[in-house]
Amino acid sequence: MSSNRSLLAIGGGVVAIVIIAVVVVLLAGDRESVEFGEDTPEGALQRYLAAFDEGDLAAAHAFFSDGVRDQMDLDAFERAVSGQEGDFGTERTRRALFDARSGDGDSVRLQLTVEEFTGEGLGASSYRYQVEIPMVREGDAWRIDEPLVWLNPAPLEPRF
Amino acid sequence: MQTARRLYIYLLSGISLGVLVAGLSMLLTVLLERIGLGPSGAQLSGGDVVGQQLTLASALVAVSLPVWLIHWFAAERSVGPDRETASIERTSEVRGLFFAVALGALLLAAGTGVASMLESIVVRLADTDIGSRSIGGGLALAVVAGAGWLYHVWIRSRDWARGPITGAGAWLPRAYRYVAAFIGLMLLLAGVGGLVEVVGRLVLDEPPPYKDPSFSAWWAYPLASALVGVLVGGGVWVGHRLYADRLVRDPGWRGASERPARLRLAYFAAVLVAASAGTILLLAEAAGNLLAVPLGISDGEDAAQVIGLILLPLLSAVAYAIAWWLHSRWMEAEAVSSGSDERVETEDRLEHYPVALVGLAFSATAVAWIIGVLIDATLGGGRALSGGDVWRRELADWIPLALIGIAVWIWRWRSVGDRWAVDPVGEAVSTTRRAMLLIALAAGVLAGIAAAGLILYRLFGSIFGISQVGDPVSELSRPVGVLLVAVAVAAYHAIQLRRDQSMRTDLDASRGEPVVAARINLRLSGPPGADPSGVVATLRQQLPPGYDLEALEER
Repeated sequence: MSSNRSLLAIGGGVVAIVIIAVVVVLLAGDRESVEFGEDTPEGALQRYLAAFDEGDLAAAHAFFSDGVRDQMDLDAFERAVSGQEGDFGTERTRRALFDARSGDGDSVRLQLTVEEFTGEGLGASSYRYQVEIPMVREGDAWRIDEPLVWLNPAPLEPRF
Repeated sequence: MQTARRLYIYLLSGISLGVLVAGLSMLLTVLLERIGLGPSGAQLSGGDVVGQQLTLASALVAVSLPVWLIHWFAAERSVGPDRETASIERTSEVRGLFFAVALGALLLAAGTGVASMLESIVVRLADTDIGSRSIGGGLALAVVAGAGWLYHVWIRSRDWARGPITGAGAWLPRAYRYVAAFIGLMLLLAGVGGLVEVVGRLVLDEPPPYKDPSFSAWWAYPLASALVGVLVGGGVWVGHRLYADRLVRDPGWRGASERPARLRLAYFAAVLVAASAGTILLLAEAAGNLLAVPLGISDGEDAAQVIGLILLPLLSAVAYAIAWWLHSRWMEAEAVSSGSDERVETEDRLEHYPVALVGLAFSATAVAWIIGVLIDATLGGGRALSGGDVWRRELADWIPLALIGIAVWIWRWRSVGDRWAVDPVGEAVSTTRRAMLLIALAAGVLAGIAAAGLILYRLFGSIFGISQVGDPVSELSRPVGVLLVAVAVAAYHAIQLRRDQSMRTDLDASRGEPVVAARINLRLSGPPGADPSGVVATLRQQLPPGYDLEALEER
């Protein structure tokens, strides 16, 4: 195969891959969220994330355990959110996938995969990481037992 | 002018190729994950990450593809057989550098992709519940970068098929080949070591002490990591070695270029150094764990753990020893088959000097530390008084290393001595010997300077009444040990160098300097595919007595 023809074949092949990928992904659509039961640890975390994403920080804060709320009251939570979420200065798109639950009884840990897409234009980047969230049962409800901003650890404020 | 143009063409080709590979692999990742090779977890919440990734990937490809096609078309057109300057372009050092960098980067990306894919598969099969992994991401990167790598291998092979390549145009891609083979072999050996440890611990039912005992699938990540080393490293090493060996056997100009290549010898020497170092370290680890038993400081809590601590490093050492032995034999066989006495001599030196240097490095370091421990124990330093097992642990670690290191040094240095006894002048003028002696001298001087600096700092601090932390005996024991050994090593090698220098001076005096009455520089050029070396050889035969013709540079 001559050099020119091989370059044409490569260019055509790349264009074909782009078209196939775009068509397949668009036809397949995005993954639907699974609705977890309200009385499950996964369901509690899901509702916390929904409240957080809607900007209802008071509702999101209510999903923390008593110990976490003592450590980080609503004002501190709002400050942490405004500090941490504004750090990047750019738009972020992210999603959380539930992987597994470990432990049993009134204290479990949820393993999640987080996908984030940050930035704009050709400077944007996409990455994926794992997080583990401790959950405790308080009364009839499951609560998050770690101070978080979305699913990331909240910065601790000094106490005097 | 042409060099600047080449730099522009190949730089732009390289950058756009990198962006194209990144965009295509991201696009393919989205596609593969959409058809079931992504994280399997149920979506808790989130936005349209896939749509964003698709947008970015498409934009990257749309920008980079035309840029790469245009610049690569220009690069390829300049080496077309119908072009007058094709031979110059094809053999240029810039093109050689481009292929070396592009092949290395694409191989690294493809290897990373395969490694990520293998890890994901093993972790998924092990059902570890440690987060779902994406097979698609690794597979996409491996496919795209692998295809790019194969394309560039094909193009470079076509370059060679069109005529000989010399100078940097030849050795830069060759450097890539041998560096890749070396890294592949090191990954393979590390993988074999990891595999021995995982399988051994599974057989003995002894998880590593740092693992959570309640986590039954502790072996998943170590196994995945070991398999990556064996499969990816092994694949890279075998592929590049077989290709290089095929080139050596080639009867044409490729073989003629490859056989005498110094880079090939450098590869063998580097493997001998690394494999002998690995063997010594693992043997010393096994012996140290054995010595720890009578000293009462073994990390093993039961007999099975103790056996594991001794046996597993020994088995891993076997892999390094085999690599050492094989490369030694291969290098020797190649030198003998070359029919060149000089090559045989060089090969023999490379078998002895670098390994002697490795043995010396380990033994000198260990002896310096042992002297430090003994000073501590004798003068009641902090390590001896701490009441713990610190100095016992240090002796168990360093005594085997000192003994094995010194044994290897004596073994190889005796062969060096035999060579010296047969042909002292030949050894004195050898570059390998001089390099080895200078490396040992430099290491001894630098270590001595560092140790003396620490000792003097402490001494002057005491004189000037500066408050200093730490027990003075313990703080000074190791620098004193290092200084004593460094002085001994530096003095021994300096004496050897001085003796060699004296022999070289005598040799030069006996030969006398050649008298050159007149000299002019000529430029010889020829058509594409010309053999300038052959023409020079023919011309040399026609010269009158007393004249000589010398090729200074070949392009």
